[in-house]
Amino acid sequence: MSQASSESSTYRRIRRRELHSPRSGASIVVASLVVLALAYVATETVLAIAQQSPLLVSPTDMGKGIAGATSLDTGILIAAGVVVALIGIVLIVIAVAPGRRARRGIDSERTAVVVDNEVIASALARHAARAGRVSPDNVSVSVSHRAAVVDLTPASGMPVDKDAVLAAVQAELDTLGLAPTLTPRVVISSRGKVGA
Amino acid sequence: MNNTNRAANRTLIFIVGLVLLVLGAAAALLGINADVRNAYDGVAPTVRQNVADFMTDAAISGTSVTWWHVAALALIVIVIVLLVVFIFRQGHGHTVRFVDDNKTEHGETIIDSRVAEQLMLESLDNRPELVSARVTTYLIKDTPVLKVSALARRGVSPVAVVTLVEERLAALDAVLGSRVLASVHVSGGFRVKTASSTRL
Repeated sequence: MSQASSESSTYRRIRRRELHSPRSGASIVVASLVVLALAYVATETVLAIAQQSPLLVSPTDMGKGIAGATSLDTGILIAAGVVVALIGIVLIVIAVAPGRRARRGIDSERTAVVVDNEVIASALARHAARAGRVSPDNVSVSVSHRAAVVDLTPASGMPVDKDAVLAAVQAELDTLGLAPTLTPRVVISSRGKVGA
Repeated sequence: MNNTNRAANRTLIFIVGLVLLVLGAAAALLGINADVRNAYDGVAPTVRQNVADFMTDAAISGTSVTWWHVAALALIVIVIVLLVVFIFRQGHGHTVRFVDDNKTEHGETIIDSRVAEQLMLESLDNRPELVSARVTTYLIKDTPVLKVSALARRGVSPVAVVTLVEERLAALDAVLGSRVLASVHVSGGFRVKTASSTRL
Protein backbone atom coordinates (compact mmCIF):
# COMPACT_ATOMS: atom_id res chain seq x y z
CA MET A 1 0.00 0.00 0.00
CA SER A 2 2.73 2.43 0.94
CA GLN A 3 4.53 1.52 -2.26
CA ALA A 4 1.41 2.40 -4.26
CA SER A 5 1.05 5.76 -2.51
CA SER A 6 4.71 6.66 -3.06
CA GLU A 7 4.22 5.70 -6.70
CA SER A 8 1.22 7.99 -7.08
CA SER A 9 3.04 10.84 -5.38
CA THR A 10 5.94 10.35 -7.79
CA TYR A 11 3.48 10.46 -10.68
CA ARG A 12 1.84 13.59 -9.32
CA ARG A 13 5.24 15.24 -9.11
CA ILE A 14 6.12 14.24 -12.68
CA ARG A 15 2.82 15.48 -14.02
CA ARG A 16 3.06 18.80 -12.18
CA ARG A 17 6.58 19.36 -13.49
CA GLU A 18 5.68 18.37 -17.04
CA LEU A 19 2.72 20.75 -17.14
CA HIS A 20 4.62 23.86 -16.01
CA SER A 21 7.63 25.62 -17.44
CA PRO A 22 10.85 25.22 -15.40
CA ARG A 23 11.79 28.85 -16.24
CA SER A 24 15.28 27.61 -17.11
CA GLY A 25 15.64 29.83 -20.18
CA ALA A 26 14.68 33.03 -18.41
CA SER A 27 16.80 32.29 -15.35
CA ILE A 28 19.86 31.41 -17.48
CA VAL A 29 19.50 34.69 -19.40
CA VAL A 30 19.07 36.70 -16.18
CA ALA A 31 22.00 34.95 -14.47
CA SER A 32 24.24 35.49 -17.53
CA LEU A 33 23.41 39.20 -17.67
CA VAL A 34 24.11 39.61 -13.95
CA VAL A 35 27.43 37.77 -14.42
CA LEU A 36 28.36 40.10 -17.31
CA ALA A 37 27.50 43.20 -15.26
CA LEU A 38 29.46 41.95 -12.24
CA ALA A 39 32.42 40.97 -14.42
CA TYR A 40 32.48 44.51 -15.83
CA VAL A 41 32.49 46.07 -12.35
CA ALA A 42 35.21 43.62 -11.28
CA THR A 43 37.32 44.57 -14.31
CA GLU A 44 37.04 48.27 -13.52
CA THR A 45 37.95 47.57 -9.89
CA VAL A 46 41.05 45.62 -10.92
CA LEU A 47 42.06 48.44 -13.30
CA ALA A 48 41.59 50.96 -10.48
CA ILE A 49 43.71 48.83 -8.14
CA ALA A 50 46.44 48.58 -10.79
CA GLN A 51 46.10 52.30 -11.39
CA GLN A 52 45.38 51.83 -15.06
CA SER A 53 42.97 54.00 -17.00
CA PRO A 54 39.40 52.66 -16.86
CA LEU A 55 37.62 50.97 -19.77
CA LEU A 56 34.64 53.31 -19.44
CA VAL A 57 34.27 54.65 -15.88
CA SER A 58 36.36 54.05 -12.78
CA PRO A 59 34.56 52.81 -9.62
CA THR A 60 35.07 56.24 -8.02
CA ASP A 61 33.38 57.96 -10.95
CA MET A 62 30.54 55.39 -10.78
CA GLY A 63 29.89 56.49 -7.20
CA LYS A 64 30.03 60.16 -8.18
CA GLY A 65 27.69 59.54 -11.09
CA ILE A 66 25.11 57.82 -8.89
CA ALA A 67 25.33 60.54 -6.24
CA GLY A 68 24.93 63.21 -8.90
CA ALA A 69 22.12 61.47 -10.77
CA THR A 70 19.90 64.53 -10.41
CA SER A 71 22.17 66.57 -12.68
CA LEU A 72 20.83 64.47 -15.56
CA ASP A 73 17.95 65.75 -17.65
CA THR A 74 14.68 64.82 -15.88
CA GLY A 75 13.26 63.45 -19.13
CA ILE A 76 16.15 60.99 -19.45
CA LEU A 77 15.85 60.01 -15.77
CA ILE A 78 12.13 59.33 -16.10
CA ALA A 79 12.49 57.44 -19.40
CA ALA A 80 15.36 55.27 -18.16
CA GLY A 81 13.62 54.66 -14.83
CA VAL A 82 10.37 53.61 -16.49
CA VAL A 83 12.15 51.24 -18.89
CA VAL A 84 14.15 49.62 -16.09
CA ALA A 85 11.03 49.35 -13.87
CA LEU A 86 9.07 47.75 -16.74
CA ILE A 87 11.80 45.15 -17.26
CA GLY A 88 11.62 44.50 -13.51
CA ILE A 89 7.85 44.02 -13.66
CA VAL A 90 8.16 41.61 -16.59
CA LEU A 91 10.71 39.55 -14.64
CA ILE A 92 8.49 39.49 -11.53
CA VAL A 93 5.54 38.32 -13.64
CA ILE A 94 7.72 35.58 -15.18
CA ALA A 95 8.79 34.52 -11.68
CA VAL A 96 5.28 34.43 -10.23
CA ALA A 97 3.06 33.32 -13.16
CA PRO A 98 2.29 29.58 -13.31
CA GLY A 99 3.95 29.19 -16.72
CA ARG A 100 1.52 26.62 -17.97
CA ARG A 101 2.59 24.66 -21.00
CA ALA A 102 0.14 23.83 -23.79
CA ARG A 103 -0.33 20.31 -22.44
CA ARG A 104 -2.63 18.49 -20.09
CA GLY A 105 -2.72 15.32 -18.07
CA ILE A 106 -4.72 12.21 -18.88
CA ASP A 107 -6.01 9.96 -16.14
CA SER A 108 -4.00 6.79 -15.81
CA GLU A 109 -3.18 4.45 -12.97
CA ARG A 110 -0.14 2.85 -14.51
CA THR A 111 1.83 5.83 -15.79
CA ALA A 112 2.05 9.61 -15.53
CA VAL A 113 0.63 10.87 -18.81
CA VAL A 114 0.86 14.32 -20.34
CA VAL A 115 -0.42 15.12 -23.81
CA ASP A 116 0.23 18.19 -25.95
CA ASN A 117 -2.93 20.16 -26.70
CA GLU A 118 -1.98 19.84 -30.35
CA VAL A 119 -2.42 16.07 -30.25
CA ILE A 120 -5.83 16.38 -28.62
CA ALA A 121 -6.86 18.96 -31.24
CA SER A 122 -5.73 16.65 -33.99
CA ALA A 123 -7.70 13.70 -32.58
CA LEU A 124 -10.80 15.85 -32.15
CA ALA A 125 -10.45 17.15 -35.71
CA ARG A 126 -10.45 13.63 -37.08
CA HIS A 127 -13.67 12.73 -35.26
CA ALA A 128 -15.33 16.03 -36.15
CA ALA A 129 -14.45 15.57 -39.81
CA ARG A 130 -15.93 12.09 -39.84
CA ALA A 131 -19.14 13.19 -38.07
CA GLY A 132 -19.50 16.24 -40.31
CA ARG A 133 -18.61 14.27 -43.45
CA VAL A 134 -15.97 16.71 -44.62
CA SER A 135 -12.31 16.24 -45.41
CA PRO A 136 -10.00 16.46 -42.37
CA ASP A 137 -8.27 19.38 -44.09
CA ASN A 138 -11.41 21.50 -43.70
CA VAL A 139 -11.59 21.13 -39.96
CA SER A 140 -9.39 23.12 -37.64
CA VAL A 141 -9.47 22.69 -33.89
CA SER A 142 -7.84 24.92 -31.33
CA VAL A 143 -7.46 23.67 -27.79
CA SER A 144 -6.85 26.16 -24.99
CA HIS A 145 -6.74 25.58 -21.25
CA ARG A 146 -10.51 25.17 -20.86
CA ALA A 147 -12.10 25.08 -24.32
CA ALA A 148 -11.83 23.21 -27.58
CA VAL A 149 -13.13 25.21 -30.55
CA VAL A 150 -13.91 23.21 -33.70
CA ASP A 151 -14.05 25.27 -36.91
CA LEU A 152 -15.58 23.34 -39.76
CA THR A 153 -15.94 24.42 -43.38
CA PRO A 154 -18.69 22.39 -45.11
CA ALA A 155 -18.63 21.28 -48.71
CA SER A 156 -20.88 23.50 -50.85
CA GLY A 157 -24.48 22.26 -50.89
CA MET A 158 -23.87 19.66 -48.18
CA PRO A 159 -25.33 20.87 -44.91
CA VAL A 160 -23.46 19.75 -41.80
CA ASP A 161 -25.24 18.44 -38.73
CA LYS A 162 -23.76 20.60 -36.00
CA ASP A 163 -25.22 18.48 -33.19
CA ALA A 164 -23.74 15.32 -34.64
CA VAL A 165 -20.31 16.97 -34.80
CA LEU A 166 -20.65 18.23 -31.24
CA ALA A 167 -21.72 14.79 -30.03
CA ALA A 168 -18.77 13.14 -31.76
CA VAL A 169 -16.33 15.64 -30.27
CA GLN A 170 -17.87 15.23 -26.81
CA ALA A 171 -17.72 11.44 -27.09
CA GLU A 172 -14.01 11.59 -27.97
CA LEU A 173 -13.36 13.98 -25.08
CA ASP A 174 -15.11 11.57 -22.72
CA THR A 175 -12.82 8.72 -23.71
CA LEU A 176 -9.74 10.90 -23.09
CA GLY A 177 -10.47 11.53 -19.40
CA LEU A 178 -8.66 14.87 -19.39
CA ALA A 179 -7.78 16.88 -16.33
CA PRO A 180 -8.78 19.72 -16.51
CA THR A 181 -11.70 18.88 -18.79
CA LEU A 182 -12.38 20.68 -22.05
CA THR A 183 -15.63 22.33 -23.09
CA PRO A 184 -16.22 21.80 -26.81
CA ARG A 185 -17.67 24.45 -29.12
CA VAL A 186 -18.47 23.87 -32.80
CA VAL A 187 -18.46 26.67 -35.35
CA ILE A 188 -19.75 25.80 -38.83
CA SER A 189 -18.56 28.25 -41.43
CA SER A 190 -21.48 29.97 -43.22
CA ARG A 191 -19.73 29.72 -46.59
CA GLY A 192 -19.04 26.32 -48.00
CA LYS A 193 -16.16 25.30 -50.17
CA VAL A 194 -16.41 23.39 -53.45
CA GLY A 195 -15.13 19.87 -53.17
CA ALA A 196 -14.53 20.03 -49.45
CA MET B 1 11.37 15.79 -16.14
CA ASN B 2 14.80 16.55 -14.70
CA ASN B 3 15.99 17.78 -11.35
CA THR B 4 16.27 21.47 -12.19
CA ASN B 5 15.67 23.50 -9.04
CA ARG B 6 12.64 25.41 -10.23
CA ALA B 7 12.14 27.32 -7.00
CA ALA B 8 15.71 28.65 -7.31
CA ASN B 9 15.05 29.69 -10.91
CA ARG B 10 11.98 31.64 -9.96
CA THR B 11 13.63 33.14 -6.89
CA LEU B 12 16.56 34.47 -8.92
CA ILE B 13 14.28 35.98 -11.56
CA PHE B 14 12.09 37.49 -8.83
CA ILE B 15 14.97 39.07 -6.93
CA VAL B 16 16.57 40.58 -10.04
CA GLY B 17 13.14 41.81 -11.17
CA LEU B 18 12.49 43.40 -7.79
CA VAL B 19 15.88 45.15 -7.77
CA LEU B 20 15.29 46.52 -11.27
CA LEU B 21 11.78 47.63 -10.35
CA VAL B 22 12.98 49.47 -7.24
CA LEU B 23 15.94 51.11 -9.05
CA GLY B 24 13.79 52.10 -12.02
CA ALA B 25 11.01 53.48 -9.84
CA ALA B 26 13.55 55.44 -7.78
CA ALA B 27 15.13 56.95 -10.92
CA ALA B 28 11.74 57.85 -12.34
CA LEU B 29 10.72 59.41 -9.03
CA LEU B 30 13.91 61.51 -9.05
CA GLY B 31 12.89 62.81 -12.44
CA ILE B 32 9.24 63.42 -11.61
CA ASN B 33 9.24 64.88 -8.11
CA ALA B 34 11.24 68.04 -7.28
CA ASP B 35 11.01 67.40 -3.51
CA VAL B 36 12.54 63.94 -3.89
CA ARG B 37 15.23 65.44 -6.10
CA ASN B 38 16.13 68.08 -3.53
CA ALA B 39 16.19 65.55 -0.71
CA TYR B 40 18.43 63.26 -2.79
CA ASP B 41 20.81 66.12 -3.58
CA GLY B 42 20.99 66.87 0.15
CA VAL B 43 21.85 63.32 1.17
CA ALA B 44 23.62 61.49 -1.70
CA PRO B 45 26.91 63.49 -1.84
CA THR B 46 27.37 63.16 1.93
CA VAL B 47 26.77 59.41 1.78
CA ARG B 48 29.21 59.10 -1.10
CA GLN B 49 31.84 61.13 0.77
CA ASN B 50 31.38 58.99 3.89
CA VAL B 51 31.78 55.79 1.91
CA ALA B 52 34.89 57.18 0.19
CA ASP B 53 36.42 58.21 3.54
CA PHE B 54 35.51 54.87 5.03
CA MET B 55 37.32 53.11 2.19
CA THR B 56 40.49 55.24 2.31
CA ASP B 57 40.68 54.49 6.07
CA ALA B 58 41.32 50.88 5.15
CA ALA B 59 44.06 51.67 2.67
CA ILE B 60 46.83 49.14 2.34
CA SER B 61 49.90 51.01 3.49
CA GLY B 62 52.10 52.40 0.78
CA THR B 63 49.48 52.02 -1.97
CA SER B 64 46.26 53.69 -2.99
CA VAL B 65 44.52 50.29 -2.91
CA THR B 66 42.09 49.73 -0.04
CA TRP B 67 41.00 46.53 1.61
CA TRP B 68 37.49 47.37 0.50
CA HIS B 69 38.54 47.13 -3.13
CA VAL B 70 39.86 43.66 -2.43
CA ALA B 71 36.77 42.67 -0.43
CA ALA B 72 34.43 43.96 -3.14
CA LEU B 73 36.41 42.07 -5.76
CA ALA B 74 36.29 38.85 -3.73
CA LEU B 75 32.54 39.23 -3.20
CA ILE B 76 31.96 39.80 -6.93
CA VAL B 77 34.05 36.75 -7.83
CA ILE B 78 32.11 34.59 -5.34
CA VAL B 79 28.75 35.75 -6.70
CA ILE B 80 29.92 35.15 -10.29
CA VAL B 81 31.06 31.61 -9.42
CA LEU B 82 27.72 30.89 -7.69
CA LEU B 83 25.77 32.15 -10.71
CA VAL B 84 27.86 30.09 -13.13
CA VAL B 85 27.29 27.00 -10.99
CA PHE B 86 23.59 27.90 -10.97
CA ILE B 87 23.54 28.08 -14.78
CA PHE B 88 25.21 24.70 -15.17
CA ARG B 89 22.99 23.07 -12.54
CA GLN B 90 20.00 23.31 -14.96
CA GLY B 91 18.70 20.00 -16.23
CA HIS B 92 20.46 16.76 -15.24
CA GLY B 93 18.84 13.91 -13.36
CA HIS B 94 19.52 11.08 -15.80
CA THR B 95 20.52 7.74 -14.38
CA VAL B 96 22.47 4.89 -15.98
CA ARG B 97 21.44 2.21 -13.45
CA PHE B 98 17.94 0.85 -13.61
CA VAL B 99 18.12 -1.98 -11.09
CA ASP B 100 20.93 -1.78 -8.60
CA ASP B 101 19.65 -3.24 -5.34
CA ASN B 102 18.86 -6.79 -6.34
CA LYS B 103 21.25 -8.58 -4.00
CA THR B 104 20.64 -12.20 -3.07
CA GLU B 105 22.79 -14.84 -1.43
CA HIS B 106 23.86 -15.97 -4.91
CA GLY B 107 25.05 -12.59 -6.12
CA GLU B 108 23.89 -9.27 -7.39
CA THR B 109 21.94 -8.22 -10.48
CA ILE B 110 22.58 -4.82 -12.03
CA ILE B 111 20.52 -3.66 -14.98
CA ASP B 112 21.55 -0.59 -16.92
CA SER B 113 18.97 1.95 -17.95
CA ARG B 114 19.96 1.42 -21.56
CA VAL B 115 18.50 -2.08 -21.41
CA ALA B 116 15.08 -0.86 -20.37
CA GLU B 117 15.25 2.06 -22.79
CA GLN B 118 16.22 -0.10 -25.76
CA LEU B 119 13.59 -2.74 -24.97
CA MET B 120 10.90 -0.09 -24.79
CA LEU B 121 12.08 1.67 -27.92
CA GLU B 122 12.27 -1.57 -29.84
CA SER B 123 8.72 -2.46 -28.92
CA LEU B 124 7.42 0.92 -30.10
CA ASP B 125 9.30 0.78 -33.39
CA ASN B 126 7.26 0.62 -36.59
CA ARG B 127 3.94 1.21 -34.89
CA PRO B 128 1.48 2.95 -37.22
CA GLU B 129 0.28 5.29 -34.42
CA LEU B 130 3.72 6.81 -33.90
CA VAL B 131 6.05 8.82 -36.07
CA SER B 132 8.89 8.28 -33.63
CA ALA B 133 9.61 7.70 -29.96
CA ARG B 134 12.38 8.53 -27.52
CA VAL B 135 13.03 6.85 -24.20
CA THR B 136 15.22 8.22 -21.39
CA THR B 137 15.57 7.42 -17.70
CA TYR B 138 15.39 9.91 -14.86
CA LEU B 139 15.92 9.42 -11.17
CA ILE B 140 12.92 10.80 -9.31
CA LYS B 141 12.72 10.51 -5.53
CA ASP B 142 15.49 7.87 -5.74
CA THR B 143 13.44 5.74 -8.13
CA PRO B 144 14.38 5.31 -11.79
CA VAL B 145 11.49 6.37 -14.01
CA LEU B 146 11.34 5.71 -17.74
CA LYS B 147 10.30 8.74 -19.74
CA VAL B 148 8.67 7.76 -23.02
CA SER B 149 8.28 10.68 -25.45
CA ALA B 150 6.07 9.65 -28.34
CA LEU B 151 5.43 11.71 -31.46
CA ALA B 152 1.90 10.74 -32.48
CA ARG B 153 0.75 10.67 -36.07
CA ARG B 154 -1.93 13.15 -37.08
CA GLY B 155 -5.41 12.32 -35.81
CA VAL B 156 -4.33 9.46 -33.56
CA SER B 157 -6.16 9.42 -30.24
CA PRO B 158 -3.72 9.98 -27.38
CA VAL B 159 -5.52 7.25 -25.47
CA ALA B 160 -4.48 4.76 -28.15
CA VAL B 161 -0.85 5.80 -27.69
CA VAL B 162 -1.07 5.56 -23.91
CA THR B 163 -2.71 2.14 -24.08
CA LEU B 164 0.03 0.95 -26.43
CA VAL B 165 2.80 2.18 -24.14
CA GLU B 166 1.19 0.71 -21.02
CA GLU B 167 0.79 -2.65 -22.74
CA ARG B 168 4.51 -2.64 -23.58
CA LEU B 169 5.29 -1.55 -20.06
CA ALA B 170 3.56 -4.62 -18.67
CA ALA B 171 5.77 -6.75 -20.90
CA LEU B 172 8.83 -4.87 -19.68
CA ASP B 173 7.77 -5.52 -16.07
CA ALA B 174 7.80 -9.22 -16.84
CA VAL B 175 11.22 -9.08 -18.51
CA LEU B 176 12.93 -7.03 -15.79
CA GLY B 177 11.16 -8.76 -12.94
CA SER B 178 9.99 -5.63 -11.17
CA ARG B 179 7.35 -2.96 -11.58
CA VAL B 180 8.70 -0.26 -13.88
CA LEU B 181 7.64 3.34 -13.29
CA ALA B 182 7.12 5.40 -16.41
CA SER B 183 5.89 8.74 -17.62
CA VAL B 184 4.45 9.20 -21.09
CA HIS B 185 4.56 12.42 -23.06
CA VAL B 186 2.52 12.40 -26.26
CA SER B 187 3.39 15.22 -28.63
CA GLY B 188 2.44 16.23 -32.15
CA GLY B 189 4.10 18.82 -34.29
CA PHE B 190 5.43 19.90 -37.61
CA ARG B 191 6.85 16.53 -38.65
CA VAL B 192 3.47 14.94 -38.02
CA LYS B 193 1.84 16.99 -40.74
CA THR B 194 4.54 16.33 -43.29
CA ALA B 195 4.53 12.59 -42.66
CA SER B 196 2.97 11.02 -45.73
CA SER B 197 -0.56 9.75 -45.51
CA THR B 198 -1.79 6.76 -47.44
CA ARG B 199 -3.94 7.61 -50.44
CA LEU B 200 -6.30 5.13 -51.99
